This record gives sequence, structure tokens and C-alpha cells, in this order.
Amino acid sequence: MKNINSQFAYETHQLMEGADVRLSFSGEFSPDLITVLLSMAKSNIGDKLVMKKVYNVMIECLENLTKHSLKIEGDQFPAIFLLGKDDEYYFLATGNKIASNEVNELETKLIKVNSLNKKELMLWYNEILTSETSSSFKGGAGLGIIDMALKSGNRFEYNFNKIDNYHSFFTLKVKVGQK
Amino acid sequence: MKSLRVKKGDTTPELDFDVDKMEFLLEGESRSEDVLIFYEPIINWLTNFKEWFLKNESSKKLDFHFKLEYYNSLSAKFIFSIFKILKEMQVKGLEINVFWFYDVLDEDLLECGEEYEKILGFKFEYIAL
Repeated sequence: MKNINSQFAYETHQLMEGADVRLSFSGEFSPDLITVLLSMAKSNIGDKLVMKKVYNVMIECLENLTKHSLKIEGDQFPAIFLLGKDDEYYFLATGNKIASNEVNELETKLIKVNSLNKKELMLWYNEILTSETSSSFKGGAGLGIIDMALKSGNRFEYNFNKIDNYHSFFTLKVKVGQK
Repeated sequence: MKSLRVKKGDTTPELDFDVDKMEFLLEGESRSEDVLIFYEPIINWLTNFKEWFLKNESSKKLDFHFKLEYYNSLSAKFIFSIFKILKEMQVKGLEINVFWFYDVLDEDLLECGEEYEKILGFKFEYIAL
């Protein structure tokens, strides 16, 4: 029998406070919720320049969560989103379940994005933008992840945590500079 | 040819393609996840508009005011399609002025405009707000 004691809320709060988390949600992400989270993030970040960058990256992050989270019947917590602040950066962190057989493709893509500089990322972006495969909009043809890297200006940090043979939990941290 | 107007939605921009004045406007945010539903009719309308223009050269000048503050990566391809059609009209002799508005702090948005410009060989006017 699971029995969470009342300290759980305190401990979670302490954990969030310690990591300077400004905004978080764990559960199912609906379009209405995304609108609310975005407007909260807007009012939370004072610096307009940073806010615009965070806003851009955040929309792509949340879209990825709604699009790519593995939906398992009865699962109340398919994904988590956090917006927080490190010493020098705002960070956006997401976590979602994915099928294990998708790990390789995603990791290959992340390695590629992390290996490219701004100019190379822009070239790749333009290549996809102008390609004729305009009917394959399901995943945005991969523009989102390149866009996030361009707006962030920092390398992605990520991890895949094995849940069982068929499922993994994918975490991604995107930093947005203060400048 | 009738003008095309679409009111602003939660995740979709306001659109006003005024054929009488030959002034087109796209304003707000474009972050819908159903981009195809939003943009497909617009692209179709523009394609018809292009045909109509080629047959009916009553006005040779069109001003396009691009005032999107934010667009997601899903919208980017459709925006590219819009500019592509405009470019095709320019090649056919229509004078097309694209005014790209951006927040003076938002260099990313300025860069996005410059990229479209470069790819399409299209000269934009930039207006910092």
C-alpha cells in the first residue's frame, strides 16, 4: 500500500525552492494549460530580451510534450515541465515517457544538433524549410528542435532513463542565456 | 476577388488581406498545433489571388505588413509558402513591399526575416518597434 505522508508537500517544495524553480507542472498538458503557463512565464521574467527567448523555446518544449509524450492508458503523469534559474541562465526542463525504440533516433538528432554551430544550424533549418516535403507537418519535419537550439544558444543537456524494456523517460534541459 | 479576413484566436494570428486597398496584414502570434487547418485555406486563397492578379492588373502594388510577434516552427513552413507566392507575383511584375515589424530587442525575429529574405531573394523593409 502506498502511503504518502504530509511531509511530501514540504519536501517537494524544498526541492523546487532549492533548484530555484519558478514554474512547474506535472501531468497532462492541454492547450488551455499551455496558454496559462506561457502567460505566467511572461510575467515571471522581468528582462524582456530573455523573456522573448524563453517564450520561444518554451512553446517548442511544450509542443514537444503534447506531441511526443507516450500516452499510456490510465497514466496521469505522462510529462513534466519546469522553468527555473541557474546562476547564469534561465532553464527549461522537460521530461516525458517515450517508447524505447524511439530513443536511438532522438538521441542521434540531439547529438547532431549539439555538434553544430549557429551557422550550421541555420543552414540545416533553411534546408528543411525550403524542402518540398511540405505535407509532412506532423513533427514539423524537425524544425522545432533546431529552432530551440538557435534560440537557446547553448548545448542541450539530456538523458534517457530506462523505465522497463519498452519505455524510457526522456529528460531535456535547455538553457537560455542572460547576456 | 473578395478580401480575406480571419479574427485573432488564442493561438492563431489576425489576418486581413484587403484586396480593395491592396494591403495585407498578418499580426499577433502563430503557435497553433493545428497549423494545417489554419494555413491551408490561406495558401489556397493566395494562390487564387495570384491567378486573379495575373488576369486583372487593376492594381500593381501590394503592401504586406508582417507583424507576427511570435511564430512556432510548425508555422514557419507556411509563412515561407506565403512569401514564396508573394515572390512569384513580384517576378510577374507586381510591386510587392514587405514590411517586417519586430521589437527592437528581438534580434531573433529580425534574423528570421533576414533568412527569408536571403532564401527567396526578396527585399524586406524592417520596422523596429
